[in-house]
Amino acid sequence: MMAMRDWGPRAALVVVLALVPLTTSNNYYMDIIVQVFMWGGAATAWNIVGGYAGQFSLGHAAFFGIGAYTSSLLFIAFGLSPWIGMLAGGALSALFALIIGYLSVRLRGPFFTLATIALAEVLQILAIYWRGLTGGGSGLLVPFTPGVAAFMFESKRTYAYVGLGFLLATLAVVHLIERSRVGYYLVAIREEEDAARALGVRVLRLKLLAIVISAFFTSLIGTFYAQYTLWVEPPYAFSLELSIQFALMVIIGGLGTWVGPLLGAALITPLNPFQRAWLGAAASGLYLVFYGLVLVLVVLFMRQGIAVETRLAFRRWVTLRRRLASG
Amino acid sequence: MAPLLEARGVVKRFGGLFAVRDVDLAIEAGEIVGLIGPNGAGKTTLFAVLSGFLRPEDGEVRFDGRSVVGLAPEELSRFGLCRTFQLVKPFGNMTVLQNVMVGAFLRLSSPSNAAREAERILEFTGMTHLRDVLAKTLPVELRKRLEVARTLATHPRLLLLDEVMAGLNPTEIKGMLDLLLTLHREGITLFIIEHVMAVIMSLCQRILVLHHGEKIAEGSPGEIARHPRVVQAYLGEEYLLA
Repeated sequence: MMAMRDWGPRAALVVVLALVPLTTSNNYYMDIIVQVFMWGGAATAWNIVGGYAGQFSLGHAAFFGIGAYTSSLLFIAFGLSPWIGMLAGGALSALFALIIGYLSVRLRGPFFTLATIALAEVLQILAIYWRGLTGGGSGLLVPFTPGVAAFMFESKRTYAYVGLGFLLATLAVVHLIERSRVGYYLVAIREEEDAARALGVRVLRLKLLAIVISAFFTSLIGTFYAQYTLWVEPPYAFSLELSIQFALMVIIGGLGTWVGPLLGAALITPLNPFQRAWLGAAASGLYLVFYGLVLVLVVLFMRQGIAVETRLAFRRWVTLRRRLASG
Repeated sequence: MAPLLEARGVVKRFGGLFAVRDVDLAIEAGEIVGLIGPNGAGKTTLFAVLSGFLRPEDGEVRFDGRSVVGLAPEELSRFGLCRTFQLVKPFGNMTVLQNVMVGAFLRLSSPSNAAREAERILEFTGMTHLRDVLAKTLPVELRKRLEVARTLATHPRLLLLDEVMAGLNPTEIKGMLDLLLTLHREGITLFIIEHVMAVIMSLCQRILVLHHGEKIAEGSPGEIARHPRVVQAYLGEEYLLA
């Protein structure tokens, strides 16, 4: 949707991101960097459906969980490299998205959202009760056997660069979508579905395409998560909390913008509930205050998300400077 | 030669209520035909049926000789049948150019070609100076104009225009009228719903009148103005008797 002049800033951002993991060797900070890349990638994938196409999914944890479980199970049971398991998980998620999408994308607004929540809940319950396969509620431990083929690394910095690879791949796909007919069509569907149909937009097909692409990349990030934490459990991997987190990051960063989901992830991740351990007993619960504060501030002052509001503010500043310069 | 658009015995019910009842119509390529009727006569419903947004309970609709009942609007637009909406539906957070590009993408897959085509349409419709404006910021006249421009970009053969003059002042109506006449000269067949009678009378070669979902009259503007059932439908029985 944007002009070619965005190439410069985007390339610059990639370079900066590549330098970030070199700025620290502290494991605590490196963990945040890994997580920002990981959640940034997941949020970017969610944005394809939720931001560009305007289909507000709160069930993306389902695809995340399928990715995490498929690669981990294939690795534990057959010693299959998670790199291959990741693609199997991605394919499974895409297939799942296609079926669920076909049944639910005709539903509009809140009804679609409810259908996606239900989907993730069903998978979560299945994962908890199907003990023989998934290890049930206690989850799945992936034995640590470092190596490139096993997708496990001794150093967090290596994880950071692998995570960055996933993030950049997702960003590249969104970059291509934005510049194609598909990108325009998805936004048109979000803005006015009936008008889009009158102009020949095959709405069902495009929504399915968006959800399939989004599910595939969310699934890859799920595998990355499993390989990083080496532990997958249904209460987390399929949780509504996780689905909401993807959506929140994008809302805060900027729905339907390229860089927004990454900005949202960079802001939210350090405050993330799952970071509570690091805040210590003295500050227990404090993260929730920060979390809430950020949300309130964004809703009050940056309704269109950080990416859009910053661009608008920058434009205002340029105009003001020009006006001052011309007297 | 078969008419460009033909409907026979079209019925659309909402519950027990007939919104469109047993309507026949035929529109020849190159015509400008008007559709009038009191509020609630079923005009917009008939448009929705003809353009594929609603499926009729009974009857046959043929476009360019082929049966199109049950085809979705996105398929009908490929054949060259396109509608506008009474309550305009701009893609608010897209620019005027991008709005028109969405239409142009029907025939052109590359964004650069679609942008070029959209520029051409904007020039044709006199909106070039607005190309980078967000559609949601446009006043009603320009929204209506954008609605027409967007459908033009799909290269339609038949346009169903639903009250594109409503809410416009006399100067703006004149502008829209000129645009419609230009489209007609370009070879586009027009079927229009309109409440502004002066527009209908001056623009249309033929007029259909709908009342309570039924077609009660059809003819030239002069015939329609004198038709007793039309006068009765619009002004009530007493007027006729007086």
